[in-house]
Amino acid sequence: MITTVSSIMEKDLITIESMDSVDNARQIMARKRIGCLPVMENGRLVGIITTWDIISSNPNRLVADVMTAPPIYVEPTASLWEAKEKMDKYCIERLLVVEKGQLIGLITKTKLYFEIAKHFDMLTQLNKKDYIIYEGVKLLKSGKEVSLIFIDIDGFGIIDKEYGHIFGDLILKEVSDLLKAKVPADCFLCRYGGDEFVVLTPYKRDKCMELAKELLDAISQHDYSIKVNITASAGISGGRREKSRFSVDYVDDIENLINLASLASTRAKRNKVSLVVADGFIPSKK
Amino acid sequence: MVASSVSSTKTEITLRLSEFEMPPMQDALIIGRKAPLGFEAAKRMVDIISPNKYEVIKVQHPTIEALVIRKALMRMVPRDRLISIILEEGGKVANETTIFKVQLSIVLCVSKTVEL
Repeated sequence: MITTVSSIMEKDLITIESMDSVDNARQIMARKRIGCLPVMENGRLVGIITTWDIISSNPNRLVADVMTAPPIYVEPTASLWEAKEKMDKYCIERLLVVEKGQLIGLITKTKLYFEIAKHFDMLTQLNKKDYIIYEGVKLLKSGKEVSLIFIDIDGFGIIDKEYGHIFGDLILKEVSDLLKAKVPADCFLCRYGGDEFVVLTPYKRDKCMELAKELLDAISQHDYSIKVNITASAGISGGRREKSRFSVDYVDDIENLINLASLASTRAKRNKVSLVVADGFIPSKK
Repeated sequence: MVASSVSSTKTEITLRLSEFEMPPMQDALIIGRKAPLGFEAAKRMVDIISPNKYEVIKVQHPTIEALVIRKALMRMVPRDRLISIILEEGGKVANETTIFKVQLSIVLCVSKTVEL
């Protein structure tokens, strides 16, 4: 499951008609202490009027003459990052949520950023799982190749027990910095869990394997701030794209790939090898 | 001893009556970007007051948002030429907050040579 816009949107919306005056819009916004009003005409959403529009306009004007139109909106099933991309692209503070042509909600930039912060790991300064799913879905939608590397640090629990959690955190930070430096610009990196990282790539399997080996070498060859040997195991999935293998639920497909790669990394640990490539495809959990 | 005073207030009312022009604009209107009337309001106004008589045109200009031009004029002078003349001359006096009424007088000079 990925967090969607529908879970954070405001549903009780106050709207205004396009033939209303700017002064009336200003009064409503001041009374209700809100920064914008969706503009309707014959029950249809036609624009949005914000405090910025009001500040620079004559109060006698019609809302239709100062509103921002056409309105920028997202669907309720859009992810938080899709909403953020739209807000950044159009430099807007509020985004309408529309389903089948009907206005059903609104999200503010403050609320959106607050939610996105929950999906960001402060220690490693890396995004968490949802971000990888979002980028993976984008790759699938655009018809590109998708492969995943699931990296798991070996014996990390022992480091925590022998050196304490403060040093454990230090190692995690160093590993994540290494990965950030090594992961190419067209790939995406996230901290999946405690000592697990995921790299999403648009590469075919062979190139993905090369990258995985490079990352594992970087981890094992680094001179860490505490004198300890760090190695990691990795599992690889995807990289053999066939359209028929993917369902219409791209989120589910990416989650399946993560699952395959994580099971492959477990097999790598069990078999005491650094890298295992997952075969097959797990059926949808639905 | 108590002083007494008398005061009275008079109000003078003056009425000035003049005919309301229909339509209230003449040949054209120049609407500033921050005028009390915008493009949409002007469009709806002329549609109600004088349907099919005027065209409301949104323009790209630093201070002028829209022009309202009598359609009959555009049959005498090409539309784009008329717009550029009004913008050129109107732009010299109009500002963002004003709405200017424009009177346009078009004289057509025809000269023909005929064989007798």
